Amino acid sequence: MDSLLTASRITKQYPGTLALDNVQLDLKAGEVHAIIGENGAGKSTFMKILAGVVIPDSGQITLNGQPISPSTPGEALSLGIATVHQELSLIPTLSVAENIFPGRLPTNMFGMVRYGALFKQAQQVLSELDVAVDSRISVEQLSIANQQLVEIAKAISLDCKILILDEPTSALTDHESDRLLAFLKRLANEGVSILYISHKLKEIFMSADRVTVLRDGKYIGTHVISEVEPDDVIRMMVGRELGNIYPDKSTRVTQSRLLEVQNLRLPDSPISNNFYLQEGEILGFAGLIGSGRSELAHALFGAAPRASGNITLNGRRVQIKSPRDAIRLGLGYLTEDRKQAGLFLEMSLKENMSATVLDKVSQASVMMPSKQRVLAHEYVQRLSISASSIEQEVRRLSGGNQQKVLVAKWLAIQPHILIVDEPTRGIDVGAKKEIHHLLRELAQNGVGVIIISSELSEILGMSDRVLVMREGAIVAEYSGEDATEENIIRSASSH
Amino acid sequence: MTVENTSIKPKNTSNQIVGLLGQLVRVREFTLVAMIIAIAIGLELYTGRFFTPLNINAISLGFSTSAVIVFGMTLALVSGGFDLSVGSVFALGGVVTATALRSGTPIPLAILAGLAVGLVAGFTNGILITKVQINPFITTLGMMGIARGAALAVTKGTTVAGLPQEFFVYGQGKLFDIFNLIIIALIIILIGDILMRRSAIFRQVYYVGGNEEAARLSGINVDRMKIAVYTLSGIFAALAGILSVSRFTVADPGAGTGEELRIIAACIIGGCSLQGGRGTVIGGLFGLIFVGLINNGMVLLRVPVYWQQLSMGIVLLLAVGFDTLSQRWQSRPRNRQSTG
Amino acid sequence: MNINRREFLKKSGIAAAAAFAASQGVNLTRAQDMQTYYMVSFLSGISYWADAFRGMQDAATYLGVEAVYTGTPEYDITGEVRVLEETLGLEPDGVVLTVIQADALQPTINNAISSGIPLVTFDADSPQSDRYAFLGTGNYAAGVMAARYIGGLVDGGKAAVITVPSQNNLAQRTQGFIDTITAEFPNIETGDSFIVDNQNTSEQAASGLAALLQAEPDIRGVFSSNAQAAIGASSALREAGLSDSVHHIGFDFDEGTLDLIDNGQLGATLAQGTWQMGFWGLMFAYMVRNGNIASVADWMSAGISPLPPYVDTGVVVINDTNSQFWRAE
Repeated sequence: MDSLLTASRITKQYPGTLALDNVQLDLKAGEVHAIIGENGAGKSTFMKILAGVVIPDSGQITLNGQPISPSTPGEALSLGIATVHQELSLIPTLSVAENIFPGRLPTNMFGMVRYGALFKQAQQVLSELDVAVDSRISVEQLSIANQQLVEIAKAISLDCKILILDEPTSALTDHESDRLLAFLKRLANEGVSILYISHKLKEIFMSADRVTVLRDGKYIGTHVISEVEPDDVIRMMVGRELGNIYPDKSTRVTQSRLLEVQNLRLPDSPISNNFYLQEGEILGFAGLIGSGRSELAHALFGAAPRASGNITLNGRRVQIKSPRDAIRLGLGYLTEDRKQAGLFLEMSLKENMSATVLDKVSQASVMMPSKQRVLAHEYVQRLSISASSIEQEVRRLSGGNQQKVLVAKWLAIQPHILIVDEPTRGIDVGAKKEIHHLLRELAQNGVGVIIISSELSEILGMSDRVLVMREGAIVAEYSGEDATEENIIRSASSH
Repeated sequence: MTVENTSIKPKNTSNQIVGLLGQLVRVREFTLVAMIIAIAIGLELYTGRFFTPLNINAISLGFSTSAVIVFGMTLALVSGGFDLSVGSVFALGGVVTATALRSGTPIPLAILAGLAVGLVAGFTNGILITKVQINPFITTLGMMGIARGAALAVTKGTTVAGLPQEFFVYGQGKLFDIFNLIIIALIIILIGDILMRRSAIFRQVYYVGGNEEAARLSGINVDRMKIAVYTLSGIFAALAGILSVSRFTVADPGAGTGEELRIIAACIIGGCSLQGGRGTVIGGLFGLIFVGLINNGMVLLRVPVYWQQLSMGIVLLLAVGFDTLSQRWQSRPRNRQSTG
Repeated sequence: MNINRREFLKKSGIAAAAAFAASQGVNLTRAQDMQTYYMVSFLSGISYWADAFRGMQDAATYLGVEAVYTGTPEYDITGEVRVLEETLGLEPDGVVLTVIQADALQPTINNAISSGIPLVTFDADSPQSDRYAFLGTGNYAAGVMAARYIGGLVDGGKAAVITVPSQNNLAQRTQGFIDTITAEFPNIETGDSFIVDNQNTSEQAASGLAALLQAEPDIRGVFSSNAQAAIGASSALREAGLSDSVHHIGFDFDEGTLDLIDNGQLGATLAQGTWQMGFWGLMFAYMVRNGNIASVADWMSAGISPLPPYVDTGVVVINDTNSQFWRAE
């Protein structure tokens, strides 16, 4: 196989950071090539350069031996390079079909759209991906997972030579990810080169042919998958041994119940759930997509309406009608979609962290910047958040650091109970480990932690007890030796 | 397999087109049309004077010039912006054409002059918004003042009259007993609506309004499209002003004051969103009809004139509120699943 | 483009604000040695004041002084107060003012007088204030005249009025009309329920009157209290085929209105002596300013007004027989 695309000495400087420092890449035709690296390693930036969104300061890119320099997304597309970005770039008000073919709608000789042909072609692309979504409905009615699949369908429909994907499986379950990766492999066999960024080592080792590692903007190396071990890759990423990925389980679970929930029922649902959380433990909620874990947490936190439910905190009955009530009672909820519901992207780190504790950083209703700063600095240090300053807009941080800001925001209220929903999605191994250790530390110090995750290994690694949900109901509880992948999967999926 | 579906209809072509388009579009406008019919019937039953040819004519003439502006404003709203300068460009276009006519310019040239002024105003708006990146609110607000000032300057504050009789055929002539003005307005609305639904080029406006960044990444030339949108808005505003002069025989530099807000309200009632990405031209027309009916109805029902503005405000809020709630209910995510 | 967006927005915001302020019409330049007199108005763009200012300019030419026109472009009470205050800050030699609202302007008028600036009012007055003179007919009187015109031509039926209810001067015209019809022509029905609000545009006048013609089939007379109303109402009557059977009197004598009269779409319009208001207004102010008033030894210490407190500048009905005299060259 010859090289299809080569990049050499790619450098990009941003104010305050050298994002890419002489990075190189060699992509062969028909191969599945993964790029891995920690936060701030420069993966997204590099990919954006290939996609024509960012212009490098120096360096060369060649395609089939000819030098290219895509300076707009349109140019990259015309060169045969299609990109699926991490942020969904769909138009919510338009139909799935119109989203798959933006700017390429089939028309008749008057320039009028041929909707019949449009929907048919779109449906074809979707069925190639094995996605059963009606191409006529509007995107805003789809779940995030399906939106991501539509995004991918869009790129595939472009009939490209090179397909670049940035964290394509972040919103998908293991099952859907497998399907997608299998599809990508098929595509590669047909001659398309796949370049994708992922944090998931397991995925990479399952489906990639080669992997390139970046660290701190520098090119570390490229290896054939069959010739390396995951640990080797990790070492290259972080430059050091990581040891056990998960912190040790709890040694101090007491009988006292921090939280007791009875008869929690959502509107329009006959199902009623009960569960409890003990001091010192981390309680995990496992289940397939759609099993209702986030909905349950939203209802508990007061962010969604409840048909019924008794909530007892430390033995005292409480009323939670809104997130405000919940926060005042010491509950925190780290949402699964940090961009939509968690962070204020246009605001600075400092402002984000103060968001939940405005009364702590103000005096007589006037915000005190000095208090905000102290708070922010404390957490930046504690969570090792890397940013150019606390005034930096959160929008500009890498995914992992954004997540850390979100964690800091909730830690600021000094919660008694913290619910974390997909806490390490889209985050590199190093940051993941830090967050896991932090959560364990919180639990050890008496803060109740409930963790919702679709990553089975994370659930198993972090939880002292696991509750499995299926179709809106808690159907099983496992702890100790019973908490195995098979048991969980079996409870989560049998009918 | 993840299965998501709303009703999947049998897949023949006409059903597909009618199916989805009907689903997306009429859901929003259905409530509006229903309200219009209900009001019309109610007025006829209560006053007995609604369905007379004179009354229908009066209502139709009342919104005809506004309907011409609606096309341009819908483009602006769907693209994620809006145009506050239409009222002033309306006056300026009319005044420029009238002044040209009065000094003997042939009618086609005079009309072109008026349209040219609208084009320049709109184009300037577009450039300022895209290249200099001043937001649409400030840009079109500024143009609103500039155009109005220009209209006053050109006429020295007074009306322009003495226009040739032949010019009045557009605003006052009739074809088969229907006023030309109404026919022209309806044709423009119809063409505008078809273009926005079916023309690939015009569909781009929905992309830009729905998610500008995504549109850009898909290779759509966002800047060029926005400039075109505002230019068209200016042209149609001027055209409306010229037609208005043809109707009233006199050009008034103060014409169209407050018109921009009335039109934006009509478009939003008809389904446009201030965030962009949504709305149709027909919807805007229905919005105009709705407001026109309320105005007409208040007089027919002998609502005291001092209460009319208040009543209009209340009715608008109720109508939009009801419509927004039903819209939210209709497009609620079905089978929506998070990772939970 | 590398323009820093925030900075530019700030600057353009400031520029827009400055332009907006400038558009409020305060003239910041001043002739060197000539005396300068200001006319302060509201709705400064409408042609109604243009004729008054023409009179003032004619007087200024004769007297060898400068006349400056200013005012607030909207119907905005605080706006006019502000413009008046700013004008006074320029130390004018005199002010000719039309009053948007008597009580609101009173304090500022009194300030002017007490600081020695001669101030007269025209067309609309602040009678409780210290202004030296008021020149005008009064909007109410104009309404009376319109009523007598309609009453003379219409025998029974109903009469409609098109106005902007929130505008004081128009409300006075409307009141004059309605009171007179009710008192002197009891066989014609009119009143508040026959008012159409045209919000200062021709379109609203047209659609409002058209609707009223539907609701009240026996309307035989229409009084349009502002120029846009006359234009719109004429169209509405034409479109309903009623131009010949309904009598319509308007207000103002701009070219558009005169045209409508000449081609029969409008029966008549009212011409107030606006030129007279401007001409004599400046004359009055000039005389006071230049110390020519000698009615008593020292009128100021005597506490009397140096000028006749009220001058009736007259109202004329213009129809197609005399319209040519009001046309500009």
